[in-house]
Amino acid sequence: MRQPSKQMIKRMFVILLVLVITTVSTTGISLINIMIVNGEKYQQMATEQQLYDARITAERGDIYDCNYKKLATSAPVWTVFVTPNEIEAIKDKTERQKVKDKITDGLSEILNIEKSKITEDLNKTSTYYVAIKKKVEKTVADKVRKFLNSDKELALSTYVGLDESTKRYYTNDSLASTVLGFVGDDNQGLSGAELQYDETLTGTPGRIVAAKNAHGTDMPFTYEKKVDAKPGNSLVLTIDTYVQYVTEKYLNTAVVNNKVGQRGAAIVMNVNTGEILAMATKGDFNPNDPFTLSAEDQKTVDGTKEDEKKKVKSDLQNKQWRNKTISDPYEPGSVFKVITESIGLEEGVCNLKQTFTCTGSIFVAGQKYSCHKHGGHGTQTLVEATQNSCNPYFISLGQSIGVNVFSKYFAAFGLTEKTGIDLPGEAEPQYHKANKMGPTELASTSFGQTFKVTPIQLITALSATVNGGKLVQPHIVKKIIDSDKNVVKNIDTNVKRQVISKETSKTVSNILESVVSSGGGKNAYVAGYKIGGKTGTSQKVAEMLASGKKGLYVASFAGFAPMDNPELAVLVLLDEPHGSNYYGGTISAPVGGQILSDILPYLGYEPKYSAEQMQSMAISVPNVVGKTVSEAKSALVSAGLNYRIIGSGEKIIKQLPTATQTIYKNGIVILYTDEKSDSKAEVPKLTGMTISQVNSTATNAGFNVSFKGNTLTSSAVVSYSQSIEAGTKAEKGTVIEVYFRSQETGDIGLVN
Amino acid sequence: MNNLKYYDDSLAYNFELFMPAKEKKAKIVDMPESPRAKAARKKASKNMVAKKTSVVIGTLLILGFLLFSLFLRSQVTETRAKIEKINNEITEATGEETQINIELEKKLSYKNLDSTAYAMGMRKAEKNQIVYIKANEKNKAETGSGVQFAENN
Repeated sequence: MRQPSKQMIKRMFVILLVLVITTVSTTGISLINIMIVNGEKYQQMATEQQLYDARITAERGDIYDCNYKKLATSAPVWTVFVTPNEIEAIKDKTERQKVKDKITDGLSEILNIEKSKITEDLNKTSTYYVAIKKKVEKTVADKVRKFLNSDKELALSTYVGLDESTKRYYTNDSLASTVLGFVGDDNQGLSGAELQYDETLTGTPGRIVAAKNAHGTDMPFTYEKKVDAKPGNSLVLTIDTYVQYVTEKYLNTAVVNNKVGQRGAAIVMNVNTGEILAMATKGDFNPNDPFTLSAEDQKTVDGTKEDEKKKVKSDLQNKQWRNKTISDPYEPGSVFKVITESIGLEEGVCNLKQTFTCTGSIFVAGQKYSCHKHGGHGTQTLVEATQNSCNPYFISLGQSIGVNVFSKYFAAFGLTEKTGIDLPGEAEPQYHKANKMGPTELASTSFGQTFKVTPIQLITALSATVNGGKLVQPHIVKKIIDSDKNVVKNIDTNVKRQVISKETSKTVSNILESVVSSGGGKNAYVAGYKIGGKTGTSQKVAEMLASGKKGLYVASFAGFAPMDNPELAVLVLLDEPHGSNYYGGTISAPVGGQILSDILPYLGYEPKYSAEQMQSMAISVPNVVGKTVSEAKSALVSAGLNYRIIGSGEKIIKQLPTATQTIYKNGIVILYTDEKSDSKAEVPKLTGMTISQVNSTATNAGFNVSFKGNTLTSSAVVSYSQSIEAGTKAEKGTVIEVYFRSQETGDIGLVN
Repeated sequence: MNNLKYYDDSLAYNFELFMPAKEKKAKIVDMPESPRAKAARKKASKNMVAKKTSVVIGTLLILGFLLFSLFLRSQVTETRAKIEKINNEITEATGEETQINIELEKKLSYKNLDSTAYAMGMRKAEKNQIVYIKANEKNKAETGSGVQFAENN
């Protein structure tokens, strides 16, 4: 064999060298590319391929009222999903269709979804995951599980699954809905406290990282690293569920009865701490179903053109979510006179003895301002002017105070800024700045017109007039607690500044008490308690001019109790009432009175009755069940009550009113002696009547009445509401609560 | 030169001469074994057995250890699976409890209580029917919900 020549060997060596260099350099470049240039990318790809990484959602904190009654909480729910690509992978066409049909029929029935919708989802064959229905509750989820196990042959659980998630529940439905707000699909706060404290409530999500095997299946225990989620903290609100319930109940009745066009609002606040005990807006929404409109609003949407429907619906949704007490500024009207009065007293511009004569109108810089009493109130003191809500008096007082001093106090009362309440969406006030305030602006501002503040700004300022002069910051959250109920943070009282002196505050309190006991606020009277307050009926001048409509008013009432040492403030406003009356003293003051009447005993304020009040008190009905007819008769007669016997038995087997219920002297007690005896009667109409008319109508029909509202301060009161609707069948002897109010109130601010 | 050897002085060739030479058996004389050597031999033999035994035991031990660790591993996996299952059951039970509590809270709302009480012909106590007790700092009772009640003093 011929030996390779040296040249040949050299050539081969060169070729080999080139090959080796090429291979090494290519490999090197690739390695540089993989490890350095695109290192991060490939690392991530490898991690994704080899690691199972899941986020553990933190449990959202709860929301409690001040007595730890749960208002909002989260519970597990499920998302029902299908895997269309898995179904598509079934080779046998007949079997594939069978699976599709089975799933469509089953899920449609259980989840109450149109079959066509499910079919559409199943036909998204390139998709791995299609959610059929979200937030499915346990009972329905159990039905789905049962359905999936019903046909082992088709292995339905391969194509349909359930993913666990959580849903927010609001235990009292619409109660305090505009305060609590609501959450979105991903449990993020969208309004109210849920939005304001979203970060606090959300907590810190956890994480599970586990290895995947060669088949891409998780290896949960072998290479698993789990960081537990930290549950969100919970909120303890200053809201008291009972106070909130009572406030909403009476506010809602007033909104309906007075055909209020732009919703009603009410706040109950502790004047010393700034804690909000109740904050209500009616109409509102159910946070369990926040996107659904009220029947009336839905009708409006249905009645609009197709292309406008979406916008109208969205507007109405935003309106129902809006917390009117903090987001909608309004002209406070005569209620504001309390502030003007406080400034005057503090600055010594007026005093209790000084008098002023109201002739029915007053001119300021050529502009005529009328009093609601066209003939004029005549000569009156500050107390009388407040009781009468006399416009010329307060315009004159405002002029005496002057623009600079007035503006200084206006700002000191917090009316030029947001209160800083811990809720989202607080609106800025709209007012005349000192450098732009002339005599006419000062005149109208003095009696509460031509500027706008929100209800929360007004009640905060008014609280300062009765609490010793301190301007406190209102707040809705009392404390933040962790999942073990340990206190994380206490929200204490924040006194911003001293606005007026204690002495002035005491004087103002006394004047306000007289407004309820003998002035325009009589309809807020509550027997046994010293209540103070001021009514207001403001004209919506700008809205009337813009819309060309007439008679747009805001009827309001601000009340305080107990006046010996004021602790509670109540503000009620009805925006655009269209009923038979629109005066704050007539339609808003009774609501304030009803709220205070219910919440004062509940909050532990003991009523103190005068001798006159004690005499008019109702009598507690004695227990006569089990007694003979003659024994029962004599017991009732000696208690000052009348009776009516139903049946022919010898012994009393039932009585109405039952023992310990209270009725007025000479009230009727129905005594039943026979099991089968029936004495139902139709409840008569008891509204629009005087006290004696109500008494006789009810007695003639066989019913008892309980007089509520303004019944002791004036003889000229008329009933406006009854606890059992007229026409309803009720057992004779039943006690019907009838509410009274006076009609003589005038507190409107007129600008001519 | 005749190198051939003749057998028994015969002319026949002694072919054995051409055959491979037979090994001559060494005359081994069995010498009496010394006690030392005997002991060494026995020791070596014992060592051999011990070595073989230890190899077998070692192998068995390693095998046993491997099997045991496999068993342990399976037990751990099984226990973990049980824990996971129980945890899931706890989560589900807790969720169910929450749901029931929510239903209960809803049923006990003031709105429901009010309407049910009215339907049953009940009325709220009048203000003068409520007995007020005055609290002092010493005689207080606190409920689980944190609400404080006072004893009569």
